[in-house]
Amino acid sequence: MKTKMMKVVFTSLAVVSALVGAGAVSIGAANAVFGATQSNSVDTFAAGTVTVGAGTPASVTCAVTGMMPGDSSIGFGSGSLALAKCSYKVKYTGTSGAWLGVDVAVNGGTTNLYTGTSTGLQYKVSVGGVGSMIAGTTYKTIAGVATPVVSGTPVQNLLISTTQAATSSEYSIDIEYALPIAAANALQGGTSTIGLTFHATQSANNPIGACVANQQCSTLTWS
Amino acid sequence: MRKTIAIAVVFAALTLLHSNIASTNAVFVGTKTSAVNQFAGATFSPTVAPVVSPTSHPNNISLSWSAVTISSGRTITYVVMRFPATGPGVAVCTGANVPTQSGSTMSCSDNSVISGTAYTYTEKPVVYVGATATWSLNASVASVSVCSKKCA
Repeated sequence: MKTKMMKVVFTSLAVVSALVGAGAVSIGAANAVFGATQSNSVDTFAAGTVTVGAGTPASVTCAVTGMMPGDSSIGFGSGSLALAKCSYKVKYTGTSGAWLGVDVAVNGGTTNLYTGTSTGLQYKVSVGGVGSMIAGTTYKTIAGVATPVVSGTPVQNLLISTTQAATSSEYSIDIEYALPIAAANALQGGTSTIGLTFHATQSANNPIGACVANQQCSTLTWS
Repeated sequence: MRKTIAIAVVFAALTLLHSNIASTNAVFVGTKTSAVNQFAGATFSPTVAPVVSPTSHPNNISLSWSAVTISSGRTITYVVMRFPATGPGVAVCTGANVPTQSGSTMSCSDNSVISGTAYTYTEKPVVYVGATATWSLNASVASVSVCSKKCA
């Protein structure tokens, strides 16, 4: 009985293989039968691209040392020093329509200058200074809920715009910073870093749904 | 029975083929990562406030200590305190008598001492931003005790 059943199974699999391979077999057979063939002109199918490159002018990477309470970049806070903001210039170089997003990673040293509170280092991340993806120590979820940015845990997929990116569109992701006047003595010598990852994903067959610019967009397929 | 098994196997195999096709539903993406932006808070040097050296004179006590610096390059203000043997301390070296720097040495004079009374001194480096005292070091440990004229 068992042997018979196995036979049935193998026979069935053979049928499936035959079905899958049928196309190739029939084409081969046709070539054998007819002595001449005619080919149509070559149809070309080129996939669109989703790529990103460096924008212009060049990005400004910050390496700020000797920060004191009250110091800030220009236009953020009311610091006694007006330091240059950091900017990350990128260009969308793909050919297909795409949604653009940014991941933000904040980290700290043994003494972390970023405490996640109103008395530690504050960051503002925006697209060209308009609105803010990171406001001080928080970002907004897709539902618009202000959520703490935790050092060591990257914030992913902050949507740049609800408008699809076109080829050669350029963006400046700006980082402004401020160390509040009330920063505690314990933060002397503290360090913090912030890095950005700019990314694009195809917009075709990838609906944006309820996502809002400057907020986390967790419903898109980003990878 | 055999027919049923055969149909089931064919169906399962075709389902498997279909699911493999569905799992390749990836999207095109591109990424680019920035250089890391770095921020560091200022630090004092040395990290412990130097002890005050008091010198007795007939009508005052002169004070000196090593200057402190901070990596931000800001000006450091020193809060100098005088303590009697018992009781609270008072700020000295204020107003027109603020500490002055000569090389790497700070100095000032306490001109309001009572003759024959013993005092100790501390100093605390502070950085002001505007009118707000921001970062500082803990006050130095107390100096040796001195009197103007002879101690009682």
